[in-house]
Amino acid sequence: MTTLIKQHPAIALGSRIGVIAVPLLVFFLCVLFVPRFLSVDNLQNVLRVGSILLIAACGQTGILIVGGIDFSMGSAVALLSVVTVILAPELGVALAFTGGICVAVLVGLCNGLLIAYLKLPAFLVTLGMLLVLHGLASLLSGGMPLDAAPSPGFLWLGSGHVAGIPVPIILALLAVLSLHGLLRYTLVGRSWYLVGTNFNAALNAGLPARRMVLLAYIVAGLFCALAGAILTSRVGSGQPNLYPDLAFATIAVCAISGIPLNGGRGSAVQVVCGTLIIAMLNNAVVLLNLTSAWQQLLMALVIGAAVVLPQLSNVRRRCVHLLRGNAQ
Amino acid sequence: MKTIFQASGISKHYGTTCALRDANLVLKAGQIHALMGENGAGKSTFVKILVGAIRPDSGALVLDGQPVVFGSVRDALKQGVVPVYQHSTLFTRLTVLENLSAFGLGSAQRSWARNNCLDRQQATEVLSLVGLDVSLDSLVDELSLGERQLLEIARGVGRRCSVLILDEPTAALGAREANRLHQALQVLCAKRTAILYISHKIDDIKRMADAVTILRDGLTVVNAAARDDISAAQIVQHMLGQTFEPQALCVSTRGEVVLEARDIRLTPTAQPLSLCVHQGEVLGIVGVAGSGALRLGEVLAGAASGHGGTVSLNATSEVVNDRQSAMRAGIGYVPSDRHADGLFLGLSALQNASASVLRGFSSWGVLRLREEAGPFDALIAQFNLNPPRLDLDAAYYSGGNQQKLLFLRNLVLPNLQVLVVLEPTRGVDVGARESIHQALRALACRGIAIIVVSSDLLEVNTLCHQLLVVASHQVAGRMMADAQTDAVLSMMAGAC
Amino acid sequence: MKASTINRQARFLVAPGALLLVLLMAGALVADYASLGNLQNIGSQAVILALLALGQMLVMLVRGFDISVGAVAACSSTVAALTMDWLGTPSIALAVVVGLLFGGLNGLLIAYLRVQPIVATLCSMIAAQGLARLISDDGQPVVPIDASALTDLAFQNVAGIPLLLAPALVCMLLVGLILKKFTLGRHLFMVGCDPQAASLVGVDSRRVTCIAYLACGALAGLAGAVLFCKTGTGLPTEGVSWALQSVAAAVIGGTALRGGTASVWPVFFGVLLIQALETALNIEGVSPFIAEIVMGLIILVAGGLDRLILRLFSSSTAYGES
Repeated sequence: MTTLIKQHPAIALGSRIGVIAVPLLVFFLCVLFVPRFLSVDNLQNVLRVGSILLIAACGQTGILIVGGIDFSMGSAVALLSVVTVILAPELGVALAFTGGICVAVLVGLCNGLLIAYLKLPAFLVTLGMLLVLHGLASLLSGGMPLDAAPSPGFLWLGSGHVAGIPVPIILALLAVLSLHGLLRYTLVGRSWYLVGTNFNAALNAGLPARRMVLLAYIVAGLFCALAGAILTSRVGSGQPNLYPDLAFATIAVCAISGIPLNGGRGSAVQVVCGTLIIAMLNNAVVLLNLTSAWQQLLMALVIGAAVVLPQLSNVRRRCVHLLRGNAQ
Repeated sequence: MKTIFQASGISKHYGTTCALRDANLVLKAGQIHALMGENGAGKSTFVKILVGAIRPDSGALVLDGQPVVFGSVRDALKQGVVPVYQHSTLFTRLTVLENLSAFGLGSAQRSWARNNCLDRQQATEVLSLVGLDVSLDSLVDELSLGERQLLEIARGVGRRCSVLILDEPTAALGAREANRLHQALQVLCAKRTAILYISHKIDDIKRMADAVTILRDGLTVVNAAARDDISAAQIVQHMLGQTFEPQALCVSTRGEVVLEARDIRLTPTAQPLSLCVHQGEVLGIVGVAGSGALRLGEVLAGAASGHGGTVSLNATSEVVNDRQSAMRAGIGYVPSDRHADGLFLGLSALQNASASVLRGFSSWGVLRLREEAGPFDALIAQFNLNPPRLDLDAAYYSGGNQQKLLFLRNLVLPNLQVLVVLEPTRGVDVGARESIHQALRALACRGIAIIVVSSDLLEVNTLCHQLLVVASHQVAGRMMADAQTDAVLSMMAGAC
Repeated sequence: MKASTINRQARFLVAPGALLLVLLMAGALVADYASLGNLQNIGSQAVILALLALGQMLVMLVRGFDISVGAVAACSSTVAALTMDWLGTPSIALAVVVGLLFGGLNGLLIAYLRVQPIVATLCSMIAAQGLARLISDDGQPVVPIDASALTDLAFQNVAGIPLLLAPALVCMLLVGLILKKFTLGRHLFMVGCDPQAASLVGVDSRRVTCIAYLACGALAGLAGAVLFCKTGTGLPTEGVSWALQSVAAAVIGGTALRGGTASVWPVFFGVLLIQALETALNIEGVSPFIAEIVMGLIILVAGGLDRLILRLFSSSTAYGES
């Protein structure tokens, strides 16, 4: 027996407002209680730190919408950084980054092929890939960080400015806009929602469901590559342990954004809001001089609240119905 | 006769809708009591309340003269109220014996107790009671659909109980198995068990039930009428609230061959079968559950692949490999399990309806969202879609209207030539059933070939020009429609 | 025999078979590999992973998944180390309590509040990491004044078998017994096969799911206690890769991701396989990163085991009877 959640448009609208309200609330709380939070420099810093996570989370969102999951992002960016740094002296900065990005996209392609066409579970494929890629990155770099030859070109992606705005922020903006356009206005995006909601039904409706899943992983590879390139440029070196928890961080972002892991739902706006919440809170923790332990506990609390509160309101609604029913 | 189980004044609301209003039911020892009603009449809500799966907003249950409150299925089980569910609740990766013991395990007092499976002797007796001949150690995975349904029933029947509640027990059974079940129920009646029997099948009810209760829109319209006091026509009338007139057979002219299937094998060892469908023809494929009729329908629609053989469209001589190529070639498809294989619950009705024609309103992969709803405006009115709008979640619609959404999806296909419909009206109320049948007839008149796969002979007889009977994954017979029902039945049962 | 029966049996033979293969190959290629000392070493190394994999198997049995096990083990080892000086030996019981708490949190979130397992356990993973850092001077190992009582105990051998293996063996026996002989075990299988159907026949699916996570947490806590006994220190940042390894061991040991299929001993063989592989590659002087890649490939392929086995056997026997 299936219980259907009959969602009325009004409830949907309510939750849509909630999505934007929470980051605003966090913002005002930070402004009120965190010293030095409200300054142009600091806000720019919040956005710049958040941009990398945001770009990667965009990729994760696409995958979650088609009903998959990707744990391999952390190692993909590591491999990208190592490859880029190794290639840089021989091919030049631009080509080296292109090579690195190709590697990350290739990882997405591999994931997608294994999951969509060999029908292996996404969960295990990407977990396995997390180890395999980390092993590869470590092998290539000998397990140690490789420093890139310092050049302004190499550092531009991470710390350059265009018209006074840091490059990562501009790229994150572009990433979000393209994700939004992709999801809302294209055939591919629409197909992702359909495939993620019910894979069998999508096949029966004549959609190229497998190709769409593959595409989601490739697009995620692209987003992940962009995030990795910025990260590599920021640290100026190739590291096998560049951002090992990236995938988990993006899943945390999606959880906070209210994007469920069972597919079919999610939007670019939600991802932005989720990332902003995390970025602001992390910044606040640093400004308040708290240790990373507090940062982690706060993060756990926020994720917990984000996933539990909607459930609690469901419970409350059920209770209200029960009471009304009894009164009649 | 002694009253065993009594429910009085039961009401249940879901949000603003009232699923059940002031329902009453009296079950007596040794009596089979039929509960009838359209889909959405409140039957399943009522049943769930009786077995403790949900709690009523108001009303009281009395068991053996004692008022009871069931907090969960477990409570009800302990008191001797045993359910047999319509949807399979078997554990496919456990053995037959373990499944038979499920209720005992489920209602065990403490989870640290030694697990108390039935002993093999008892289990064998229970199986033979319902006429199921399988090994106790085989996995449920290996049983056929009919065997599973029997096992499901055996599980309930085998348990010592005072009240047995059967929800649509014969839905997936052939005639012979249904008979066997009825015999088993008689045995239980003789042991003074009270039985609540929920079914759509009026024949079953007229043959077995001692009393009939009918629900409509959450209201009890007939309360415990004795079997002989109510005629089949009256039952239908009470269920619908309006008289039901069977429509005349579809009149459409038969044109050229549209779809041709050659040498399809449904299993590697089955005889190959071939068939062709003409323009404007309605071909009915009938077979009991597990006979391969549904499988054949899936193969024809490209949703599954057979073992060898080809399905091709005559006009373009395109060969159908998968659903995608079938759709491009103009084969529409309405799957049998609309929740699992058809609908996108959680997405809007519009997105559901337009899923197959995304390319129709997109250029270079970009959707022209304004044009999306266009083709559906006229169709919504034609189909009586209720609520008549497409911006709600698909989950918000009732079963019949969800089925209509699936038809809408296929009707807007630009080059629709063949429509394969599996179980078009399973779990659909009579009103929606009529509008779906009408739509199918209208399509046939437009020259579209229609393949209806159904286990409902009545439906196939009123809709189709030709019948193809499938048994044991092979063709058991072909005939024109309105052939003798008995002949068809014996073919369906044929090689079983 | 039909295909599904074969599949049910064969999936549990993969881990022992592969282990045998690795042991034979390593024994032939690597000097001293088959020595008693090395095998003992593999055994004692495997204890922590065995406990974690056992817990992982239990939650996977009910269609769940727990990525917090490593962090919880690290956190509970830290707690044990911190309280060692006050409580003495009973501090290791406290480690189990910490594990139970995190297991309870997971169970509450997943079973009763219907949070997806990945999100819920990610949440408690971060919480456990945070807590461990908080109580340990930001991730520095916690060294109690005197933990020799425990460390001495840890390195004793009884009849050639390291005493450290005892908790793992006892837990495995216990879990195996519960799965086979007790109603709770049957409930776990029923809920894993089909939670809704289980509810409809009277099993309290939520409670059973919650118990699985509680047990997993307790086992992770015990693993933390063992870690503490072995090293004599609390290691708050240890165990990052353990969750992954425990999943790998459980999956290689025939536990199905879709739930409802699991067996204790194959999982133990899965653990030994992983440990044997790592030790073999270590001794041989191969880069440790190769071991990582091999592990990754194993996890990657493990997802296809079901269908691979089914295909191997079904081609010859699936329709053999009909």
